[in-house]
Amino acid sequence: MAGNLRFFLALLRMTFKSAAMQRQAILIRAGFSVITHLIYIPVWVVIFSIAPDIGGWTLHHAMVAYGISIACWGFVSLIAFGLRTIPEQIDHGELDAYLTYPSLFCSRRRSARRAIRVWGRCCSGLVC
Amino acid sequence: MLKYFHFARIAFGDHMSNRLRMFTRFLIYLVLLWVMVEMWRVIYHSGHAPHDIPFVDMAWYMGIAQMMFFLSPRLFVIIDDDVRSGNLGYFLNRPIPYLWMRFTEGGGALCGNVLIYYSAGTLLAYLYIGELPSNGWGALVLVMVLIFVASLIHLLFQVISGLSALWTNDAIFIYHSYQKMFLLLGGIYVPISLYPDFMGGTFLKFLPFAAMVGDPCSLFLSGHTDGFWSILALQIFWLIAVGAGAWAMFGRALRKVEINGG
Repeated sequence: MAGNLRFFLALLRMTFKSAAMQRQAILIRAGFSVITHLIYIPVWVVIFSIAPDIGGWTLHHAMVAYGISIACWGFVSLIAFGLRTIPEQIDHGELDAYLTYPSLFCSRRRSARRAIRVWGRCCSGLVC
Repeated sequence: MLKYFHFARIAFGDHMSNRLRMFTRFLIYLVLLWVMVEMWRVIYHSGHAPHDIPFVDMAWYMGIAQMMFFLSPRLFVIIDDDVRSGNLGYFLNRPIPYLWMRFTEGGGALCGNVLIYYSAGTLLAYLYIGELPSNGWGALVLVMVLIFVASLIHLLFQVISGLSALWTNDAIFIYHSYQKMFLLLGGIYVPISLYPDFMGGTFLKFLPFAAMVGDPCSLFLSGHTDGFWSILALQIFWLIAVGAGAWAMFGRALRKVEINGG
């Protein structure tokens, strides 16, 4: 268990290092990630400007709910986003290569991709 | 032109053969239709309804606005994959421009979706909402024509998003940003005519986002269909403008591919 955790943390560190090497791409991604998540704020403002109260929910409630949900989604993505790509890996016949590794397949895959974007989600959640 | 037709025909057949994917996508459309219609039902029941828009028309607005998102295939994913895998280089020496090849393929798949959503989608929306919009079925047909043209513009935006992978290494960021701007400026959740003044609703109507969804669906709300030709003209303008933008971007992308060695 402790070995798997150490392996996962090392994998996470390597993923961030690898992603951070493409600096221009990272900056563009980070900027667009923040825009993507904050754009819902004016959407909520527009909806609640028409109906200040929807079934007891106000703009304040919606913002808090959205903030919590997007921050949680960001946290889950941080540690497990790669799991979503497993069907794609199976479809492409790439599963066998992972099965030959000594570490657990799930721990290897779960942090594999798009690690940088999750910070945008976490930050957006905190802003809300 | 015949080669484009065959690319579209093959894409149509390929798209229609994957029934499970189409069914799950259609199911998600129905869920979104239900969510949006029920949200507005709650708003109407809470007494905050817009005075001049009947609930039936608002429900049809939401149903068709959501449908527009589901008509176009996810073309940017294919282009993103071509760019990142390097397959783009193999397509460049073929006797058909890559850009228009992918666009016609998207058009073929779009026609498949149109068949399903315009028949089963509209029928289920009618059964759920309970009646036709106040303007009658004629307005529904006109809106469907406009939504089809809008889907072509949406495909071109997807092409641009996909090509952006050459600079960002991942097109999904650009596409999601475009999608969220679309939600806000296109009037997907709320008709643009109901936007507060500080949002500049009059100006927003001329942007491509509103030309794709907000303007066409507003035919349900206006009580008449006089605006059809002006909306169609605006859509054709944006179709040409976005198409020219995609072509220019493709030219820049080709230079980048050559610099990188293909």
